[in-house]
Amino acid sequence: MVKPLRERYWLYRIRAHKDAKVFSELYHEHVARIHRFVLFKVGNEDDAREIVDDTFLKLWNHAVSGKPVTNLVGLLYTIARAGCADHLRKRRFETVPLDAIAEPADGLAASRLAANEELGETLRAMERLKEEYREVLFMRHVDGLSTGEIAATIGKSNGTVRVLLYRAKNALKDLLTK
Amino acid sequence: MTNRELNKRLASLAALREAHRPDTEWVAASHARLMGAIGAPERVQRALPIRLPRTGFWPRLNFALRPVMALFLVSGFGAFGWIAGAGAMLGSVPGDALYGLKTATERAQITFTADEAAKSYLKLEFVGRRVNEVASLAEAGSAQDRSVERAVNELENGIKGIATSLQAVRAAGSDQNTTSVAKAVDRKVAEVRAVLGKTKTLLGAGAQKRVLAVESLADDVSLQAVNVLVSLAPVAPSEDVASRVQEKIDSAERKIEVASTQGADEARAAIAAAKEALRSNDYAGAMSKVQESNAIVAEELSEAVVEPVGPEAEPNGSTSTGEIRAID
Repeated sequence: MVKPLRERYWLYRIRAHKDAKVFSELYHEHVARIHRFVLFKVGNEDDAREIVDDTFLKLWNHAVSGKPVTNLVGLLYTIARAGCADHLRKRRFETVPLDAIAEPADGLAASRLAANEELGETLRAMERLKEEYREVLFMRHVDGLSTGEIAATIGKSNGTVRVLLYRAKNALKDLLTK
Repeated sequence: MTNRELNKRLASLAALREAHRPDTEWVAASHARLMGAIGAPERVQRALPIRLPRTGFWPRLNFALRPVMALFLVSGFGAFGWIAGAGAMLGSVPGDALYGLKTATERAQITFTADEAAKSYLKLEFVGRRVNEVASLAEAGSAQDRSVERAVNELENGIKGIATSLQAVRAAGSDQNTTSVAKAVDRKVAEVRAVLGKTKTLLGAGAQKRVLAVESLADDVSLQAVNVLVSLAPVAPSEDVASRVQEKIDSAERKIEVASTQGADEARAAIAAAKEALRSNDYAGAMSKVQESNAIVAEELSEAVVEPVGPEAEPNGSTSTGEIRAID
């Protein structure tokens, strides 16, 4: 409950006062997850950075314009997702550098991940899922979004998202059992 | 698999959250750009990208400790730990504790990238990393034979993945994307071959044999890429295709010289036919003859044994030039 309240407060400050300081706070809160979400979708660091920059600027413009916003995080992901789709449609690969992949990590996460050999197997199985399933599983389990945030992002109802997650998990289970 | 086991596996995906963070310098620059674009005051534009806990005991100690902790995090431990962790992972090789993280983050990137062509570029980039790992281990000496073996296996799998990706991009139907990816594959395989050519002389006989097999696989994938370009000749510029076919002919010719096999005459005849086909702009015919020549040489080489050559032989079974001599 605390999180939505804070987001409502942010939205109020941005809308009513064009509060850049609050927007800066929102940026720092979400930039890592939006960057990850975009990078995993487009696969290229330079493109991801451009889309992330654009996403936050669009979010600001949307918020201060007075257009309705029901879920701030959902809107952020929606804009990022649309940016990725737009980018993938327009992409011309001759200009894509082959060495532009970021790979930072901290030691704690490293030890946790290195210890988990099942992760690779899970990811390989997820690669075989439908894009729709993969996306909701990513948002739920990698990004930690709530059902409501996912629903706002992909423009579907909470119930539909629950069904999607259920089916995605079943499909993944089947793949991992085979 | 039970639901509990599945949930445990899904929960492990959260580790990717920690493992994948944007570069802090970029975040600071991006933040400043954004704040500038929305007309934020100067002090907000320069705000540090640091968030401290908002729950538990922290708020009560907030005012006194926050500046001290922030300074500590920025100037010392935080920066050192993060940079050390990132650097260690970037340079990790098979056998290192962080290598699992490196391959897991790569796998995650491939899994969640939506576009087939983008996946191909990622795979190419990762194959570049794999060949560098083989080179690093080879330079480190022969004491880590098992690690070398694993590195070569990883490289082999990576190259196989590229071949699969190339087919997937083609199946996706965009000639433009397919052409771009095929060119990138051809270029990357040339890089891989160049590194392996230098590296294999540092390896023991067993590892050299494995590297030869990987080189052969890489050549096959490269031929597949050029075949794809040939099949899309109306899309790809014909001079470019012709020069790539010429490169494959040259490469096949070099293999005949290195192998010095009984089938050399037969292979040379195939190469002569390939050159003739290229002269008459029959690229597909030329590629077919190149493949024929390669197949003959590969068959001969499969019966060959890697052995030291003459007085320049190294103790680990390689030669100083890295040449492989066939036993006739």
